[in-house]
Amino acid sequence: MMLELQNLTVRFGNLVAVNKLNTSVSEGTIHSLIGPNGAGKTTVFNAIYNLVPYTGDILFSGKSLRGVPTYRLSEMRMTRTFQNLSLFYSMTVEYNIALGLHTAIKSSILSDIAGVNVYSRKEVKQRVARVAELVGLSQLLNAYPAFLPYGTQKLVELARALVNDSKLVLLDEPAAGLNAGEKEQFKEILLKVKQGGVTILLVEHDMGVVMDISDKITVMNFGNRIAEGTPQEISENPDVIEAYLGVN
Amino acid sequence: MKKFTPILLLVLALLIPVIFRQKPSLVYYLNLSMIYAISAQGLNLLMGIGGQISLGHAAFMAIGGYTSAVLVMVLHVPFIVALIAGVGLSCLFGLIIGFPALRLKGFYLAIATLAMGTVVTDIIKRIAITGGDYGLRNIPAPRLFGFTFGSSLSQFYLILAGLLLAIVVTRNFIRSKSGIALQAMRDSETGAQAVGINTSNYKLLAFILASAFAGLAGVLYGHSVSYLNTTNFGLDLSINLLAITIIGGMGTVWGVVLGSFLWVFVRNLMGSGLEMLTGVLFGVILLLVVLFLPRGLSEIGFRIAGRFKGKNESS
Ligand SMILES: Nc1ncnc2c1ncn2[C@@H]1O[C@H](COP(=O)(O)OP(=O)(O)OP(=O)(O)O)[C@@H](O)[C@H]1O
Ligand SMILES: [Mg+2]
Repeated sequence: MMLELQNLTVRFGNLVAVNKLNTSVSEGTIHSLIGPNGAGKTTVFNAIYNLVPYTGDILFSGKSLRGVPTYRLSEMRMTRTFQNLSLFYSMTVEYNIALGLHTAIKSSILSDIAGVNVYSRKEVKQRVARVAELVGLSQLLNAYPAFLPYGTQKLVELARALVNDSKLVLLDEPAAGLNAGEKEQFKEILLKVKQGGVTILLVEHDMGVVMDISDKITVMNFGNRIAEGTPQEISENPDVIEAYLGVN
Repeated sequence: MKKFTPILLLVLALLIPVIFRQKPSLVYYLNLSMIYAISAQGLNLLMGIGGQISLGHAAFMAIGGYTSAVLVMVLHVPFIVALIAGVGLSCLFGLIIGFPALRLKGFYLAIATLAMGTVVTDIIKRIAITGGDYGLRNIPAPRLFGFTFGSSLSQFYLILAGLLLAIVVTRNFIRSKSGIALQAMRDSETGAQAVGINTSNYKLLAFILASAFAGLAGVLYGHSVSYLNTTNFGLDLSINLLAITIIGGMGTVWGVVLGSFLWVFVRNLMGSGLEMLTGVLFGVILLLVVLFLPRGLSEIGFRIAGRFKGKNESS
């Protein structure tokens, strides 16, 4: 298993944001986590990233992540995107993506003082170009993200998460802000990423995207897991329809 | 053409003391400006690049200055050794002051660094060897390789060398891997951690670097002004250094140099009788810059040079 959540529980005061959640994400799959606003999806990501205190256990490739600091996960080949963008706005799209390689590039105090720009190296540029091509940002590498549409900024974050050949990427509403055509392309992108051997844990409100590309779906409501299964099982599940899908 | 601008500037700088041979007081103020520029360059890295804040920056100048002066005067250590020790001790204290920064942000960090600065200067004042309230007098001029930098003119070249070092190191650091990591942290701490940047380490690095520059400035200050008093390194100077950095333009290399010259000359060369107004004048300049030139005076330079395309130094 790529990722296992065992009795994961997160409390904020009296609020139980995630309640004894159990699930496992199989290698090489697209696994979606869905549910209404406030269900606890982002909180699950934050627990995995050790950003909120939790009980229970989280295993990544069989190893417990308890006590592992947030910044170590990239090196362990897990990356994520954020529901609220966390881009580097003083830098170009190219640098935003290239920073995803921070842990892959070695430098020393001497090279820092000598002013060696490690991100201008050919192999870095090639890796950035490759992922930019995949995500469709090739023409925008020199742009500053603040000037791009919200959906495109989300893609920059996706590219940053993909550039270091992660084993597992957690995506928090990556399709938000994309129009219908872009969403079709977006599905293609994620399927290609999956073909490349990357496991994806996806939080997404757009059911078109979720149903079309997920191998497995976990549904949460008020911190509880209310269903889990294939897209077809989930879309036919009466509990899910009542809690979430029936809303629209 | 662009390539030759620094060389032209350097030649001009080297000629300045010769041109102003007859006005040693002017050269003295140039020296002072450069010393503050070195110190402010550290603050520039800390704030402009690292996104941290310090209201205790001047205290590190005191640590560097007093360490070096005491070593030379009491232990008769060679200047170069004293200089290294002054910068080293300043770095060590920078590391210590950096730890609160791991837990504090913004307003709270400002208060914590302010408190640290006050504590440091207070302790220095209470050590007998530093001359206490009277300050430390007759600090010997810098001596390197058998040459004594006794006059303002000769000190000009030594301090210029220090400033050039500070500028080159800053410029290089900004485009290095660590410099870019710091800028990423400044832009988004969560984003930085997600790409694997150990933000705690980089914050400490920012504080250490900032104190190294301040320490160097302090050493040069002590041995060229020849007098040290802790009251000169209190909150007042810390805030002025902050203003210099903001007026010049945070995150740019040349801005703080501009800001320092402006500050020293506004403060010292205004006609007599107008001294009282210098604080007001500097305050007004600061206000105007914050309101109209968020990237500082260097923004004007960028525009004039036609290089200003909304592009940041960072990339
Ligand atoms: N740091 C926090 N402190 C206190 N409460 C929090 C915190 N983070 C989240 N919550 C609360 O926990 C619950 C779950 O929030 P979470 O952000 O995980 O929901 P979500 O499923 O991601 O919702 P959305 O679809 O709107 O993004 C909400 O009630 C939220 O208000
Ligand atoms: Mg959420």
